[in-house]
Amino acid sequence: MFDDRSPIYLQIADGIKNDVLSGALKEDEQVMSTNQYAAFYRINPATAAKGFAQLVEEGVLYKKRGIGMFVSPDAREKLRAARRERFFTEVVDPMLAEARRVGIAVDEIVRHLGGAR
Amino acid sequence: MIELRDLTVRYGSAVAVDDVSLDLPTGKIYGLLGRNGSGKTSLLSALASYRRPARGTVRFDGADAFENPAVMRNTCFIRDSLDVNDSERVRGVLGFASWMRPGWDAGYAARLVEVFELEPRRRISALSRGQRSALGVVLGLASRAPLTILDETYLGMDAVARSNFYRELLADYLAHPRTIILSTHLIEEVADLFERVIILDRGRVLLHEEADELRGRGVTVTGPAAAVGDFAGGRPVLGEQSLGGVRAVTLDWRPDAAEVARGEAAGLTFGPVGLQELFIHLTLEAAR
Amino acid sequence: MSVHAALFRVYRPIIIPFAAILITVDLLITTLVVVGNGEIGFSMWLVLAGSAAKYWLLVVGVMLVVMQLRQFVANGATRHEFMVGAGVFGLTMSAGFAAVVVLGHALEGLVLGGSRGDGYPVLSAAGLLGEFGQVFPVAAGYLISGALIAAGFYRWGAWIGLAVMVGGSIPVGVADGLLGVDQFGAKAAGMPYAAALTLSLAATAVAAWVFHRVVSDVAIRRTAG
Repeated sequence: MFDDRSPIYLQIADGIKNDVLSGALKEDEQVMSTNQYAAFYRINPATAAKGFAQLVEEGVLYKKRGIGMFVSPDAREKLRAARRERFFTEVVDPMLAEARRVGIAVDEIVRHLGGAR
Repeated sequence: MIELRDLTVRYGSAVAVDDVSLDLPTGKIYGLLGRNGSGKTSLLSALASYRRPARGTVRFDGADAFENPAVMRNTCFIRDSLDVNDSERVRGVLGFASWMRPGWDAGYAARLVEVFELEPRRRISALSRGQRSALGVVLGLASRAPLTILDETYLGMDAVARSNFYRELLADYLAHPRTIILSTHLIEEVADLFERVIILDRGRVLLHEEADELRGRGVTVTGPAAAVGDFAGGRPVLGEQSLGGVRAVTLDWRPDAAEVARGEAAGLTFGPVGLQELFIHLTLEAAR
Repeated sequence: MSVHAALFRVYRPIIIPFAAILITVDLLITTLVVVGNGEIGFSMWLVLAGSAAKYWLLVVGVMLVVMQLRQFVANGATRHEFMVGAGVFGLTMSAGFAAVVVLGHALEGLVLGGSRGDGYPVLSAAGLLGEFGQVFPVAAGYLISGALIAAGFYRWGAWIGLAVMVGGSIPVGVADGLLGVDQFGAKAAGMPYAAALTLSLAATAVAAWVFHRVVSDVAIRRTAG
């Protein structure tokens, strides 16, 4: 489920963010408790809690005392905006670098993109 | 809080635990890692008052642990040799524990016996290695002791039984939080359960960190030897391999996105370092 | 559960069959002797039960160290708690066995009736207490010797264990030598009872103290040495 690439709590946070973006988790929907999450994914609850705390700090989740954690009402939009900002530096630029490495001209890419419009 | 201060355990002239000091906040699941002979069992023996240290102290919330009734009553140390008599039966061993252990849950023990497919009427001498390990797990978990130590007990179990063990351990820890210390060398399997990891090497503490911090701690850089050398610069090297003109180096360092891009532009590839790999490299590095 | 209560529960399934075997063997052999000889000139019960009381308690002393110490510590008792509980258990067992020996002797005399030969030690009511006063300290002596010898091996292994064995045997030597009861009844060891008892108890007490020193910080190992 989780790999060695990065701390698990970050992978948890990313997983939940993806679920929010895709709509699998709706706004104001309650998420699993840290204990449920830990039991389900077979990880230490403190790690799950750290992931959730990260998301609360980023404003993706909020806590209702005595009840649990919920997805923030504007979470989806916030995440989309953040991803949009990083799209060019994190997705397009590496793609261009790879294109240069294998010898694909920018014009070729533009032609390919033209077909997708 | 469990405090170990200047703990030294000796066997004659051989030093097994060398001046170890550790602060262990209670209520967490700890992984104690180390090679064979690194002093894990000796450390745990001293922690459980099975052995008096040659020097140093073990304190539970300020109270000295050795021969302390309140501390020992709340400590359950299950080790590989399984401290039961060969002539007893499984149900006798469990019965005895139920008399002596204040927190013993007989119903839970019975359920675990079923999960691990133990036969209550069987004699200890007639148990297979896997069944002995399973009995150790039942004794350790059903005791619900505030400090539960499982010293490589579950290593004799097969993969299915071990998977059941991890599931049962986590479920019971969630329902009844307590301090659990697992000593193991099957790191990859169980690493996700640890909150903290302690690595012991030749009697000394190599590191004591949050398990999650160790993930993503290192990176392997592979590529043309010169480029790798340039990129690695002065970073701490954990290990390296060369084949022809290609060099792979494991660094105790984490490059940021820009550095990764720079490296990839120079023809380098990056890979993660798993916990087990990191453990191997750190202990080999320490040996040098 | 307290340590001594747990020990009684552990040993209970052993005691009853043991007692049954003892009584059966005694009846069997006594009957054979009486049938063959017409009478029996000594107390078979004192021979069998008397020896059994001693050697069985020696074995219990050994087992307490070799089997139960580890078991109790592994289940949360301190070494000290174990020794105190084992002490209570041991003294009770010694007293119990001594009582069984003495009462059995009295019963034997009654049952034999006319088959009692000349040398048979008849037990009077007053003699009951006196005989108990001899068998009990001897039994306790055997128990502590067994425990101390086993502790020596457990802590130090074979060679030093053998050395400890020499000192560990002193309670047995003193108690049995001065107070021992043979098949003809109480043995007059040439020493007044009070003096013999004092020496015997002193030897036992010293052995118990040494035992405590050896075990109070012993490493809990899987096997001896």
